[in-house]
Amino acid sequence: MTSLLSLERITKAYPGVLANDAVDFAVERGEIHALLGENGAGKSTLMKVLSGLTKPDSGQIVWKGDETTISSPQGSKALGIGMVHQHFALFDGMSVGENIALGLGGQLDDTRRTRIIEMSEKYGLPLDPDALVFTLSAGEKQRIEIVRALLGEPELLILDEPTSVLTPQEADALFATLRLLRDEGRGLVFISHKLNEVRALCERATILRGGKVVATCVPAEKSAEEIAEMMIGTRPVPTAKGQQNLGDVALEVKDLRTKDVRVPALAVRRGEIMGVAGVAGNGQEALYAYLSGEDLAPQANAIWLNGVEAGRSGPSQRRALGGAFVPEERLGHAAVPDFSLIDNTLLSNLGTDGFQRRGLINWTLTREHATEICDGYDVRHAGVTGRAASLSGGNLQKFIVGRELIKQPEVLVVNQPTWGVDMGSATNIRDQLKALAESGSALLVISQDLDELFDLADRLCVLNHGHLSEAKPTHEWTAETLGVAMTGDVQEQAA
Amino acid sequence: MSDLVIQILAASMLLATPLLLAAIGELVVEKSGVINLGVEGMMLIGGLAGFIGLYQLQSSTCTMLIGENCFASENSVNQFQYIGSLLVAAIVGAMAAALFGFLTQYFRANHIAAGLGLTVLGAGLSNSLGGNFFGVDYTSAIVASVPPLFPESWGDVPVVGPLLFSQNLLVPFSFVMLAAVWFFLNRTRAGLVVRAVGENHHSAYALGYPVILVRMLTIMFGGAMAGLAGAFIVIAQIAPKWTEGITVGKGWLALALILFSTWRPGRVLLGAYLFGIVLALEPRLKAIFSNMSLELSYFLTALPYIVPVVVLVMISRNPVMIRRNAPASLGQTFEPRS
Repeated sequence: MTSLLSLERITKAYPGVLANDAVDFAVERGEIHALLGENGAGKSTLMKVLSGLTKPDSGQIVWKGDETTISSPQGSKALGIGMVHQHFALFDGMSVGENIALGLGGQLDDTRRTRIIEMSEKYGLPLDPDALVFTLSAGEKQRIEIVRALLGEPELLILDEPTSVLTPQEADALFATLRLLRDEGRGLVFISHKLNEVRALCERATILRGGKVVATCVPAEKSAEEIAEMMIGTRPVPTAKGQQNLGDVALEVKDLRTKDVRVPALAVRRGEIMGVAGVAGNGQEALYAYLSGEDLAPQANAIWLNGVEAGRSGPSQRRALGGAFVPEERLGHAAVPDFSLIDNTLLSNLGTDGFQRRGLINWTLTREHATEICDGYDVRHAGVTGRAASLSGGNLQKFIVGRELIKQPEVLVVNQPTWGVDMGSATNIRDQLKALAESGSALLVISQDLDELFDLADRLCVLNHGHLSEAKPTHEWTAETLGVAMTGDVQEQAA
Repeated sequence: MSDLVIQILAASMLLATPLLLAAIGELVVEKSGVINLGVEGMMLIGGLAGFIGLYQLQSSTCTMLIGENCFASENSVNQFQYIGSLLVAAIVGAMAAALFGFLTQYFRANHIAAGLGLTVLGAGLSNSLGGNFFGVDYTSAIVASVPPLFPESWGDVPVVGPLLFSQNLLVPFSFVMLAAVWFFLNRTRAGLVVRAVGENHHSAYALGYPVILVRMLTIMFGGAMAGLAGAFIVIAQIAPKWTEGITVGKGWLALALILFSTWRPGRVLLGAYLFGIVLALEPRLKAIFSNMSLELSYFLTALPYIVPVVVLVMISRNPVMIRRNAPASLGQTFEPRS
């Protein structure tokens, strides 16, 4: 019997990266097929190919035994493929029914209203067609997407990380629905990096790593450790770093508990780089915000900078205590896109001596400082008066990291220091970070790039579902233990 | 007593209709996510165009019938000439709006800047063209009044006579358009698409709807309605007469009404008529209380601008309804993500 869908040797290259390298992938009728992989393993590219957003460079798409091409989202829908996106494409100010009607191309009439209610009852997806979307929870919004996809009668339904926004109860309800759809003979693709869910739900799993299929297996027959190892691969285990001259603790977090992160304990010493690993969306943004002072901790004594309680202090006060912070987003968060490099230099230096006197800005000094940053950190630019947005990603990243490094801060918190940056710039930034640690500063690096963390960090902890694990020396972690810590269920220690 | 009420209602129709026309048009524009602050400018350009159109139609007919020496006293206009001039006003208003549309939709100019530019352009252009540009000084041109739609004797019928039969064509038209716009936005598929584009242009685009085309069409509809509103002020509100800046801020008032009525057509109607009724009351109250203090009389003059805003703000405070009706992409420039 032919497969419902089979992809044969799909290859897609983007400048500098081979996103899909001869990927073979097949889905049968009546199975839930997991697609597993780290960020950047090629899952998204494969889904873009299936939904008609991207054309593969080579390879075949075979639908029910016939070779076909998918050139647009409409074409994908017409073929019988339904997509449930991770980020909902919904109209918040409109009703559930109107949202579904827009997706199907029609006005909300009584027939359609009846069908929505029928469909939602049949598959255990309770929905009120008249409810306004902005009043609903993430789980309810997802039901809209699923019902919208199901009303198109798809034979293959693709769900992109559907449980990432759900509570455990909502996730269980979703799994019941998915099993029902499977039993009707539809094919389902379940994209996830949560191993326990995949092992409980899916008949088969295809594991991608670095754009290649590394294995296809029956997930229930494998342990979470084995799957994690396939996802992450065996990496050269970092050797224990030489004897270091670690100073006292410069950055400390004690029992920080908020609605989005839980950090029982974290202490970074002078001369040390602490790495925070984790899959995107597990609380990295929130952790950064609490450390930098963009969000204030519930208690002042939850965060300590250089021995001073700083939990209730804002970013400027924390800078005055010797802290420096580099957020993930270069444009719009770290730098104002339409401001010149000089203006952007000033932004994180408003409290620094000499840059302003009696409310007036010393532009000469600011310009010299901007030039110094660019020269010292190899920022290639067309003049410091140019807009920040005109710099390439790598150069802007070097600029915003350099802007903080040049102050020789005692404590530096960096979120994704080399995200989306070319190899040369990334190496340059990492070397600068190492040099800063050697000079006796305490560094905390939040990153999704495990290779980067293995290269930089002296100790590593893992952020999973907002929970920060205990830190262990980097060489004590293995690919399996790290994989399980990143993707498994959170076992929260009693605090 | 009831005579006075009917008098005031009839007068308020004349005052509220241009506001209502302009606001209905701009409401659709804003529902599609575009804010066009050029309403005042489009009203001036459209109003002048309508006036010129009526003058030309009148004098060409007059010349045809009587010959070269055509005097103002012999002038008259009929309903068809009036409708012709309204068409001119609507088309010219839509063209002015299309300029705004090209700038904001194709060249991705900032809505606020382009809209303010259109207001300034409209004021300046209508001043120049209404002067002696075409060889006729329209500020002193004389055009005959438009006759009512129904025989004049019908105006004596109690109640409906003055409120319906003696009114200008555009008065019932504004009500029809209000109902049509409500029906379009809430009951038709195309209206649903307009609202979707205004709510989240990225999602609408991803679902395959032509965001820019939809917005161009609503912008031009808004311009046509603003042109009609201007023509009503110039031609029908009193006697046909062109003066510089004749709309005196009614376009801005229409914009404010939409905001305070939280994008709900029924409340736009309420706001426009509150304005009209209070404004119509003012001279009558002043006549009755002829010895009122100067301060009170100034306050009375300000009242038409205060009452609608206060009432609309009081009744439109429900945050859920505001979120439901307010277009979330309002004023944002759309660039398709590649």
